[in-house]
Amino acid sequence: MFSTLRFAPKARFFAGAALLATLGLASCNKDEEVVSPSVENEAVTTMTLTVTNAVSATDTQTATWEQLLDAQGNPVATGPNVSQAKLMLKPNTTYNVTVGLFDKTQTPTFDVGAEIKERANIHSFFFQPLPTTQPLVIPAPTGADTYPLPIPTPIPTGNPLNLMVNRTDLDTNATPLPLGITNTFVTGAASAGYLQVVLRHQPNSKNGTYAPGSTDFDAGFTVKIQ
Amino acid sequence: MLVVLLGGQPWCAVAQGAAAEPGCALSLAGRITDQRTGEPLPGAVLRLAETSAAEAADPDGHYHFHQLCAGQYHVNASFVGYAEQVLVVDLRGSLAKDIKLKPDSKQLGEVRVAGEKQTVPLVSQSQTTLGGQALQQTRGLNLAESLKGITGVYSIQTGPTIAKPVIHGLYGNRVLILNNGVRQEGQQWALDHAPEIDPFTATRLTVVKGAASIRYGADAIGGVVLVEPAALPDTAGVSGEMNLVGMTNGRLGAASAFVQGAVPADTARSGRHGLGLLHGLSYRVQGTLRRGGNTRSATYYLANTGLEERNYSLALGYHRGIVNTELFFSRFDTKIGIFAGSEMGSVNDLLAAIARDRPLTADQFTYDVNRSYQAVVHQLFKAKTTVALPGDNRVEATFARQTDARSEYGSQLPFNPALGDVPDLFLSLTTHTLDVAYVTSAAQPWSLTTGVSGMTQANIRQYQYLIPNFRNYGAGAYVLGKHRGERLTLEGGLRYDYRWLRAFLTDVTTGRIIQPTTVYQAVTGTLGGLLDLGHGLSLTANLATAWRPPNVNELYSAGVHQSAASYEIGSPNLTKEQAYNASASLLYSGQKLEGEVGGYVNYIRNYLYLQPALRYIRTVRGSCPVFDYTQANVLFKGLDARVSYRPIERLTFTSSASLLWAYNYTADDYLIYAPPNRWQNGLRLNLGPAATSGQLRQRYLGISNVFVAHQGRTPASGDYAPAPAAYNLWGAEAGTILHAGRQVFDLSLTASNLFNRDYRDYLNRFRYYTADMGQNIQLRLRVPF
Repeated sequence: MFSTLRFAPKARFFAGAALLATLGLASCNKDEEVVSPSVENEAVTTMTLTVTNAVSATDTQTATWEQLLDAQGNPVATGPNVSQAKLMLKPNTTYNVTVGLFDKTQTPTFDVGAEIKERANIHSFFFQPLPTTQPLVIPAPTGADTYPLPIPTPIPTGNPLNLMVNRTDLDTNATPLPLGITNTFVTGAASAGYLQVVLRHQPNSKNGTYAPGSTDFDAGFTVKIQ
Repeated sequence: MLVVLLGGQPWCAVAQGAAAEPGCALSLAGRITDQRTGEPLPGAVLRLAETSAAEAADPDGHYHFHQLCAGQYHVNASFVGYAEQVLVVDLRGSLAKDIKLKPDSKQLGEVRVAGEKQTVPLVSQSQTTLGGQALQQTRGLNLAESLKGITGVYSIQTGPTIAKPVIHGLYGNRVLILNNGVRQEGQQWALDHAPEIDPFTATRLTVVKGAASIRYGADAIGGVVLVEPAALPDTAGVSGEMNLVGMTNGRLGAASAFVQGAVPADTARSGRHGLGLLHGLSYRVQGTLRRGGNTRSATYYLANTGLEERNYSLALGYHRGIVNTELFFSRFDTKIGIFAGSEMGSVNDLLAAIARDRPLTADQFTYDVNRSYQAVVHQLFKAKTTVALPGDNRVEATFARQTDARSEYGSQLPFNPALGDVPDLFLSLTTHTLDVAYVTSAAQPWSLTTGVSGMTQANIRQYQYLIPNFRNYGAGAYVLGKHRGERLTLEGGLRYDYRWLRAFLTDVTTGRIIQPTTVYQAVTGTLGGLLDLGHGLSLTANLATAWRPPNVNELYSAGVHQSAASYEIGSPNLTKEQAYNASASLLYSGQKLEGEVGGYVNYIRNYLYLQPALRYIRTVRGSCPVFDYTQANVLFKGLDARVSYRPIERLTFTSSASLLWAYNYTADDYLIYAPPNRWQNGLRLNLGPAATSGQLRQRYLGISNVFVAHQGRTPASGDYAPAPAAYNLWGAEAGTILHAGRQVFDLSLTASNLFNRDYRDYLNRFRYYTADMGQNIQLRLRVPF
């Protein structure tokens, strides 16, 4: 700075200060005090299996597996409700099975299953009867993961559950692959065990196997064939 | 050159000795800097025509002439690569006169050495500046990648597109970023939130290593990154620059340009009144476009790792009399793809991904960015007024308003189509800050900076709950003094800060909205010195404290972190984090050899971190390990060393090492994500015709190597996979200046990971899922006009 500087009118400085003060006041609203509800766009709380005897439309039952969420979108502390997650099937019988998926955090309850059908090309359901002597379709939990309730971890060794699951619907990929919203269950001799049902999200990578993508929903059911 | 500020005309022809009242004991001092970047020009030569005295500027660009008589002097300032300048100074009392030199366009090939000492904010702390060619070679990269090569600096990454700077092992909220003098206030708390800054706005990137709360307030525990644009021009005419960058990896292209101009303040005096009040006005308009597609590891493409960025900034300056006002607005707008192979439902998915040697995602190139992606818009408005007071003192007032809107889009559209294509998470942060500082003349032996600052901040969330709404008030006051002696410069300071934070969230048990409030306050101090030992040796030492209040995520977060499949739980009872930092470095600057060795110890009491709770929460997607925010006493210590040796004029060999050791004394274990030790080497050959002074050349060729050791000091639990093996990457570079008439083209070619090595880095959080980036050849063109 030169020692010969002229002093500018003070008015300019005060005009600048007034401008700053005005802008400062713009911050005095209280929008943050209004708390938006917690919305999980991809929440799924409930899975149903609607099982109908292929030769007797009146022989039908529905099993339900449910995990509700708290106000912050996390699983409620009481854990999943598995009191209705059980199937009683007859031996050597074929059943038509429809999988339902629902989001009960929305009002009214939103039918996620219908939307998954729309997005069949990037989703796939997998069914794992347990215990089994067949190769696993769904890998057993590794590390610290566990089977979803009510399936115990590890699976008790014993006679296999004589259940065969065939996925009967196909997506519209270039080589159509099964989706698994509609299926047939074919039972064998009387036995007891569990059925694990997993929905995989496999964008641009669906190839009929379990490995690509990530899990959207993982549920378990008790199955008794007698 | 028109740079001659007073035109050299005898309009103020004061006869020698006309005002001889102070006798011949006057001094003329000041600082000589690059007019465009503001960098000091150590070694610049100043001559007084009247006395034949000559003096070279010191490492900070300062010069002093003593025992002058009153009268008129012609000061001739020259420095290699810059246009010579003659000033006429009318000396009636001791005078401080800063000189700005304009780069000579014929000599743009000049190599500027990174690592110069700067005067801001503290001279006793280790700091490194990237400017000139060193910065030019990082153009087109994001901020953290640009800084990654600096000794003691690392980057923590979330895939190839998201990176945050790490200084001496600390990152996130512990590294403060000052964007054009304003504290960057974005969502810096998460590892996958990159700084919302366009490095093209800067002509200097400075990293201050070590605790620096004293000047900038809370959070600066690890260090500070200063992103500084060039000073606005004060000479007539329109100038500008265009930068074009192309990279093979990701087929990334970046284009950035600025145009600037000024109506000089002083022309009115030389009789040109034509533009009236417009005299003193200066402006700059700047814009950047950046677009990239899927990046590629050594052997496969990483699906959905493209990005799109559109940024611009406007600056307006007005200098009239003693008042200098600057208005600045910038908008940063980015859309960043998140690697598709990182989507994890549970720890089971994660362990399966770790077990395979390559991801199962599509191996193809595309520029399209699909879900998952982040879209961030950060806007900054700044108004700064500086009032010059007699005696080269000044008062500065800076007001800034920042808005940060962050949308995070999950891997799929909402299941309910009625919701539309909405993000999974939206956070809107609005911050207002006001800083007022009184700064005394740096030319005097004693100088003082004192000031107050205030802040108010509001956060509003939507969709998913990750962090709550909040209101944050902060205030601080500080005083920082410095004494510049013949050989010893001493500095010290004290600061008080106050923080008030109120969150607004729904209580999960009662369903009611609660408003927990926390208040934190702290006093921080610093003491340091710079000692000139002679023979080109100097020693710096610094003791500093710093603090950080718990961030809102550390207090109130609850939920699954999708890409890490971890369930993170905050704790409202956390206390402030307090750091005690000691550092010292020895610098040598000789004819052929130049170097710095520095050591540091940073003890942090109540260090906030995520501790594995060793239990799992099962969601409908599977099990996720639980991590609790907790506090511990930790120690970071390390050594930074760099040396540059020039055996012959054309050849420069550089080597630098960054060593770090971090330990958690409370848990009696190592700390996760501590940067591994690193050793960098480079060899550069300067070719082509010499510039006028004989030292700088217009063409260069170089090779470089970076060796990153295996991190063996990792915690016993909390990580899913062991630290990856050591790796060794080669790079190469070449550059030239082309002339077409008067137009200059600055062209350079850089190759990183030259041999396309397959490697994983410990601090890349996507190392669980994929190898790191493969070969990347980058072509850069800079066209100044």
